[in-house]
Amino acid sequence: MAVIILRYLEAENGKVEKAIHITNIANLRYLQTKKYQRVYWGVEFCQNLIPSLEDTQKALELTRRAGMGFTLVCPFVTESGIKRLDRILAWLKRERVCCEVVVNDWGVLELLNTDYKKRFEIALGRLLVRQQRDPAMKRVLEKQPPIGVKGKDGKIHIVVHRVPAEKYQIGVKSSYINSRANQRILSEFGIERVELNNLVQGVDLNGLKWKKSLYTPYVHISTTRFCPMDSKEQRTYRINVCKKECQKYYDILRNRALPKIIYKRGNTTFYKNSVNNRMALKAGIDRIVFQPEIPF
Amino acid sequence: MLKITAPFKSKEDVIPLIEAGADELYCGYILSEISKEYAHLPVFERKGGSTCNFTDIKELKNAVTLAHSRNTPVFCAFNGMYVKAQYTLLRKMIRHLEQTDLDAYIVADMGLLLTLKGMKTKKEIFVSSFVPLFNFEAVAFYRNFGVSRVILDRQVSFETMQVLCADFPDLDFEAFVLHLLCVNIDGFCTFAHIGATARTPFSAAQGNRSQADQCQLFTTFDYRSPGDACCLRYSVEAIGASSGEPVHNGEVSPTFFKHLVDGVECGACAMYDFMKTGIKSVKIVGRQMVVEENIKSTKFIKAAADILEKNKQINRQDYIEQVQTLYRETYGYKKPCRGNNCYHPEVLIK
Repeated sequence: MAVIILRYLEAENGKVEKAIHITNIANLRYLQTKKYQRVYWGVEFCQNLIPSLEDTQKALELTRRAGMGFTLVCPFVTESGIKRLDRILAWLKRERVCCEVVVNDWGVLELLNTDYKKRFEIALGRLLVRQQRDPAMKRVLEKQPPIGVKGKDGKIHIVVHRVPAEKYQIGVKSSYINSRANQRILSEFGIERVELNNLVQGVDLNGLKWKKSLYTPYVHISTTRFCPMDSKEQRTYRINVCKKECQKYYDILRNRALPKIIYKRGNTTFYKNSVNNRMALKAGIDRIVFQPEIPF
Repeated sequence: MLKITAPFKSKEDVIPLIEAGADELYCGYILSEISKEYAHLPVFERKGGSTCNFTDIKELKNAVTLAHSRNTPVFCAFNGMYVKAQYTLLRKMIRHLEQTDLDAYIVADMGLLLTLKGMKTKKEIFVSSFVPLFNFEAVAFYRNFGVSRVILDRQVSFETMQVLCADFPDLDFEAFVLHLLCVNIDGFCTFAHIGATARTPFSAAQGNRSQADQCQLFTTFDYRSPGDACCLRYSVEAIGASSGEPVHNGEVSPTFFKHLVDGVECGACAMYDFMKTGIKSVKIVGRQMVVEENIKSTKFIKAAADILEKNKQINRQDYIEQVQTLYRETYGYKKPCRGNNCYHPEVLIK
């Protein structure tokens, strides 16, 4: 069983392709470091932040000049988001750009299979891979001492944690895509690569035949269409009046019960878990995607 | 008229729910082997364990027969995303269920959907809200697999509902209407509801938990609030994206949205708009709840549906006022509705 053990070390040169995730034009400055072979351009979680066609053209031009690979990252979308993505895809098709597209929405996969059949290499995005991303998961799998807790009834209850069965332990490190049957059917829709979170409990790659990318350091936990950023109107009504506060702020959530700090940027929550490149290569990961900022 | 789909978990629930106004019923079924190895800590199945599901296929069969005697269809929900090792047991569960007269499966996992097609089931297949579909193309993708109903996520807008209902007249669309509003999209969230079992030490005092059930995830346990990691009382601090420094200028007052819910989560006001979009049925969440709560909820939603049925010319504002009055009477909520408990808060500002 190939399981990634999680420790942070300096990245070293190897056969793992290094990609950098750029979410907007200002962050193209990260390309100056010249240690990456590929650019991931776009956003995973918010259609309001899909880059414009003009910015995409600039990003592609810079990527080409740097001799790097280009991957377009698409979020989950409503009809309006599909139209914005379609405009970018149509331009890429006209310009005969062969690139990768990361899909985080079944509708985008359908679009690629109807209007852009065999035009792009398709990667199954993190939202569709459905790994178990709870930040407390590692503690679920570890032995814990019993504790006494005062309940709402005023009594002290002794709570004992039992380490789950082995099958459970393996299961929370894997996903439905580990199944060959699922890979077969999704391959018929053009999926060739899978995008993975670097889970705190480890990642089981057993049975996964696709090419694999591993993101670092941000593991996304959950996302929403109601962006719970900080404008008073949203707090009162939960109406999605996007003012792009996520560009100016992010939130840090702390609770002593959780082993990880939670980062909330815009509509998505994350925890951090950095990857060890050497172990990743040994486990069959062929690409590490570095996110220099909390993504959205 | 909008149909009401209500949850149940025992044969005794069937008649009371139908008499309360349920037009359809849905349940879960789980083998004890799965419960032992996986669903005890509900990560793979959102509502795992014996407290939310049938575990005896004969009882489920009898419940289905009873529901059918009252012309009420029954669906079985599988909201989990299953890993390879679970498929042997899943196939065993499906073989059991195929022997019943169940009307449909509600499925989230693509592998399970394909397994059902491979086993040539004659029952209908519904797409669960745990496969969040927000656009036309996504529904088209799933229609490739022969589904007949789509249960929409709570965060699908009325505009999208209208487009989908118009463009897919061969499919039924269902919307959630009551309980367990979550700010997160179900299908994209893996905050595990493992801390929820941490509430059971209190029910342990009632002597109704076995030794095996004493396995708790106390690490997300906070006795002051529900134990799931998404519901903890976090300290929240805003940080400048460029500076990396805390922001204390008063411009932001960060909050974790889950802290704002203070009543029964409800979408009854939105039923007015559901009717206009073409939604066929509304679903009450609550397989984990006691039947008395589900009966109360069904009666409330039925009363709301009756308002729309009896006066087809009623305007939105009048309907909302009547439904909010009903809500306060049913649940004893004293404050004005202001969006924090609402499935579709936009109806409050239309």
